[in-house]
Amino acid sequence: MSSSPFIDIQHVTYTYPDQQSRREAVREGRTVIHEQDASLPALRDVSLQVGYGEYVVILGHNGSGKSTLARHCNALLTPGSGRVLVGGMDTADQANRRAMRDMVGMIFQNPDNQIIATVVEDDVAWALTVRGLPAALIRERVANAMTAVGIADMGKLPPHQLSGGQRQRLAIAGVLALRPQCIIADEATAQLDPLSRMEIVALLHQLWREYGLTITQVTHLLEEAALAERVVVMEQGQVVMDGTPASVFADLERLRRLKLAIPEPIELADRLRGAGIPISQEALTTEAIARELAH
Amino acid sequence: MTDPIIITKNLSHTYQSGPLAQAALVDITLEIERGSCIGIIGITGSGKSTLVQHFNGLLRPTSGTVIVDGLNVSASGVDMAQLRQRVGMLFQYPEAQLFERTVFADVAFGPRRMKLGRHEVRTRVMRALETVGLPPHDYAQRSPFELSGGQMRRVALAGVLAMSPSILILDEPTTGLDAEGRAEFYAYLRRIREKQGVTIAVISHDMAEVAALTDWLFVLHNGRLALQGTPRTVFSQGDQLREWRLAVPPLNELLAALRRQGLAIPEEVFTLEDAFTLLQRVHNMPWTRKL
Repeated sequence: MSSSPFIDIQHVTYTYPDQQSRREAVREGRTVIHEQDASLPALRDVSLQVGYGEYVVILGHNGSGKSTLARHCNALLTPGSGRVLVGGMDTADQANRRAMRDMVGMIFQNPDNQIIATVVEDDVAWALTVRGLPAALIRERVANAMTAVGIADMGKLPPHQLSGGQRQRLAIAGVLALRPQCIIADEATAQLDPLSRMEIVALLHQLWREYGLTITQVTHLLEEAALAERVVVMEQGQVVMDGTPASVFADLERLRRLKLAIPEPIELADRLRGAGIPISQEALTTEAIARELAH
Repeated sequence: MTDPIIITKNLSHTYQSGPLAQAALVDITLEIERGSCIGIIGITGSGKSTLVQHFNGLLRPTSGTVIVDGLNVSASGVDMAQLRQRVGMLFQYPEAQLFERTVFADVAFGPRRMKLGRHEVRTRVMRALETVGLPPHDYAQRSPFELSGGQMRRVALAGVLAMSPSILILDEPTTGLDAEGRAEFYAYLRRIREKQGVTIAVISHDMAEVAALTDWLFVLHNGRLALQGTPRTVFSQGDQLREWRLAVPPLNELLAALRRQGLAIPEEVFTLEDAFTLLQRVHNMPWTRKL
């Protein structure tokens, strides 16, 4: 076990080449940003360390810089100033790109952007085939990856017959087949219905526990952040809060000022606490709050 | 129901692609009350979009009848121009459809196509911009593309309002907006309903959104009208909804969990305020907690 962090972001500042491309980047994600955010650099002197095997949620409203930060973690973007080390390798070094992207897999809002093949199992195999791995090894890894994400029986189907949640699972399988150390999920649940969304979050947690992966999940939803080990909150290109979900959620007023929606169960628990009813700060999920209220 | 503005009777719609026929809507009979705000929920593919496309004549029923504000959409001679003017539709990510150089020109596009006089167009645009919280003297001459996303979406809404519709249909109106943009959008919708008596139909995946906005819900499942009622009664049937792969709003989830743990929570408890008052009382008077 290395004592140095897996992802080491050091004083990174990043400005999109021009505001047009920033708007395009944002449109692509189909999110909507505020004027004042669009006029600042997307990242401003950000330093952040993520340890091996950590589950970190990066939380922030649209345009806060969270996706830009995530894209620095596998060299999709490289810093304007400062540097990013992943597994000890500098993301700015072209020679490291392939190794780094095998090590850090990324999934996005719209899985259709990363689905290539016409049949599910070919799609999972795609990156392995491109890398010229032996056929037997590819078959084994594809089967394992499809089982891990729960689409083992869909191998022969065309991807368009899958539901949104299943296509997102397919995208995750494609990344898993490369045996990464880390998965970055960039608003991967934003286009899903509520049930599929919670299932994808549960899947990420399961992969984290079973394979010891490092998971970085980018979201604007507090209910997703509640389940992480650590929550990093971003605003106007800077990290403004960093801690356990309980410590970050202790200041709901501040989260509200950061334009984040407070789920009603969390708000209710906070108001009841204020009225002198004992509910621990750690009770952040609906089940946990219900359990404490019923006793 | 006393004064329905939309009536469907045994509405069915079958998509025909080559030799394959796919039933998208099956035998839908419903009424939407004038001046109400209704929600249509159901998973992707349940028929929500197909249904609302019948309300402004984008689709005609394969069988059955659709009557919208007195116009028979299923009849062959129906006046489409009049129908589309009465039924305003805001699609998903409507800001992607803005195209003019100024906010004024974008909002004026619809009224101009209605061949209204210059003065009338101007009055309507000004009023619509005022209604969505974009005062004309600050916003009318700006480019829509330099506004924030929430503001752009409200420009699109103003463009629909300027046509003076009696029915407003919104397909996932707040996806992609942050909490602040959402709250603003809801506030303007409430105002439109109260001040102008517009009937509003919302399609949404966000159950907290429909619980907060609407007074009647239609639940679609496999192209059929599976359930309807007030949000209160619909969301009290969590197990049934989950079977259809629908969620209930997080607060109702919590209340259901508390009931499972044996707490006496009446069905009337529905809002955060209700729940706060009740749970505080339960805490102070523990003998009221059990059923």
